[in-house]
Amino acid sequence: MNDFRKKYLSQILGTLLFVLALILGYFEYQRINIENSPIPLGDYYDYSILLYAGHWFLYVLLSLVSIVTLFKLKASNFFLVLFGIASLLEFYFNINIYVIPSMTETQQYILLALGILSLIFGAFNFLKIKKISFSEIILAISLAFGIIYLPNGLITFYF
Amino acid sequence: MKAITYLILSLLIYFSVSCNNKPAEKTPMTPDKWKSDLDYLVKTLKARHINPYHTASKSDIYNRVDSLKKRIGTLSEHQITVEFSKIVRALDDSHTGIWTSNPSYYQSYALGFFSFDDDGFRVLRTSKENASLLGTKLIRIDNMPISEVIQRIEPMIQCADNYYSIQARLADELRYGVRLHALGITKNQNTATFEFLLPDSSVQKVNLQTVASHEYEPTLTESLELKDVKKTFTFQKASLGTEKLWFQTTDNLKIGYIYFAGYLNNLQMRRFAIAVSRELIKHNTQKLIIDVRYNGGGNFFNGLQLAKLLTINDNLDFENGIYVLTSRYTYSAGMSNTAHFKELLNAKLIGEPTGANPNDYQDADGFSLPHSQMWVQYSKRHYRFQDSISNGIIPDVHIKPKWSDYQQEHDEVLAWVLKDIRL
Repeated sequence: MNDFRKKYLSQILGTLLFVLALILGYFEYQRINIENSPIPLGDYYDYSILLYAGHWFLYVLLSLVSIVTLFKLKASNFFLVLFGIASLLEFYFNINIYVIPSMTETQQYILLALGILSLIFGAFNFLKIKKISFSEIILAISLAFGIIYLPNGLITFYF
Repeated sequence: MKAITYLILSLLIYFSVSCNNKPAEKTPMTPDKWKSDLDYLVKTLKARHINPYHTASKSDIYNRVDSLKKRIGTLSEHQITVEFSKIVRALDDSHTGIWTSNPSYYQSYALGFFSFDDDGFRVLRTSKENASLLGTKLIRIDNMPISEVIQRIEPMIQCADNYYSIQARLADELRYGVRLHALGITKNQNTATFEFLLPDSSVQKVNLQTVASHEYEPTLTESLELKDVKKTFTFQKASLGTEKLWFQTTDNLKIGYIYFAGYLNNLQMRRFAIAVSRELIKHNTQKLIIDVRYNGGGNFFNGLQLAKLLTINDNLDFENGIYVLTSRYTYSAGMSNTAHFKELLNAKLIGEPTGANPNDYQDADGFSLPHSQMWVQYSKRHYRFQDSISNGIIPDVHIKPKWSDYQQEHDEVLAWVLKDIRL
């Protein structure tokens, strides 16, 4: 059983996370995609990107988490913490700051749950196995703030 | 690591000490302190206001100050507050006003009035116990005819700019017990006899008691509203926004409606503007109504974010399809953005002239008086949103509020626009 866990657990978890990221991304693409429109939709897609870039970045992060987990890379804990903090921040911004949220309620809570799980894993690794250093945590926090602020910076830049 | 720990501890101590800075405690007022506050008020307004004597002369204001100083020992706190208000009001400035922090000054009768040009002051909101008063016309307070009541109130209303905002402020002032008493209108601070003219021409006398300011809104359960607007456009049906700023389209997606009664911060406003533009493009909506009738102000630069995003939207009918609904409550930044929408979006203005004038003193800042802690607001800038001088921004189609419309709960302004769009 221990051998099985060591060999395959990361691969199963990584694959699941990757599939989840693809599914979430697909549904989100369907949400903003308009086919056969009689009018030019260029600005519509630009505006969609500006409004929803926050959670697209999170899907990209989730994909990265899944890949590093799948291949058992050393950076997996760093990405877990980064994704966890970024998800919580995006959740907080959606609830308390954005009047026009970047996510639907379902998406928010899925990402909140995944973010909390990632942080639990990250904290466990930090306290028990020390697979992540203090400086990596500080870097993850800084990057998470940057990632979540970036769409708002883009909006300011665009207009 | 130790250095980091010391740094964090030092920061924690610094912030805990900083947060302990308590505001100065208010001590009992004496005539000398009131006089000192009065001097500070006039001196500071002179120093900070862009042009305090643009309408009243300096000598007129100083005569009022001298006169009050002579009487100040004989007046109560609330009477002095009212007299301070009269001096500030004499400056005739749309964004200069004074308010006390004493909560009893804001105790009010559970009545909400509206001033109709041809039908006087009528009750549009009241409590459940006095539901029968809805729509009745106020004729006397403690036996004083309404015309005299208005004469006494008018010199002390704050932040009014023209006939329309004066009517709005007067209707609002009629409910404050302490002020009515300080002006010699009522015999008591917290009770008064209001007399109303009923539809059958009989008179109903009602003895009312004031409620605390925080109880006022919850007490007003009965109201006469223009329900047409609620049937067509309502926050519950809104696809985007908050209660003070939301967007909705009609069921056929042909008409967009933005209810713009308040301001969000810059980022929120940008996100809202982007989302509205996105919806307009998505549904190919060409007609847009922007309702600023209850926009009392905020930061007009944030409102400009909305104008900017709408301006670059190629779907909208900029020739005939943008409407802005205005009223006497359209004030300050609400008025400024109305001017922007007119200029940038070629919007057609429908309704009443705005309560604020387009060429006037705006952009408020404030300070507290040292002893009484009364809050003073003053204008820092002079804006010119129009080439000509006018009392309010004059709408393209002026629709006066009529009592008969309220009786039928009919929103004539919105009805006019919807009819114009469908023609």
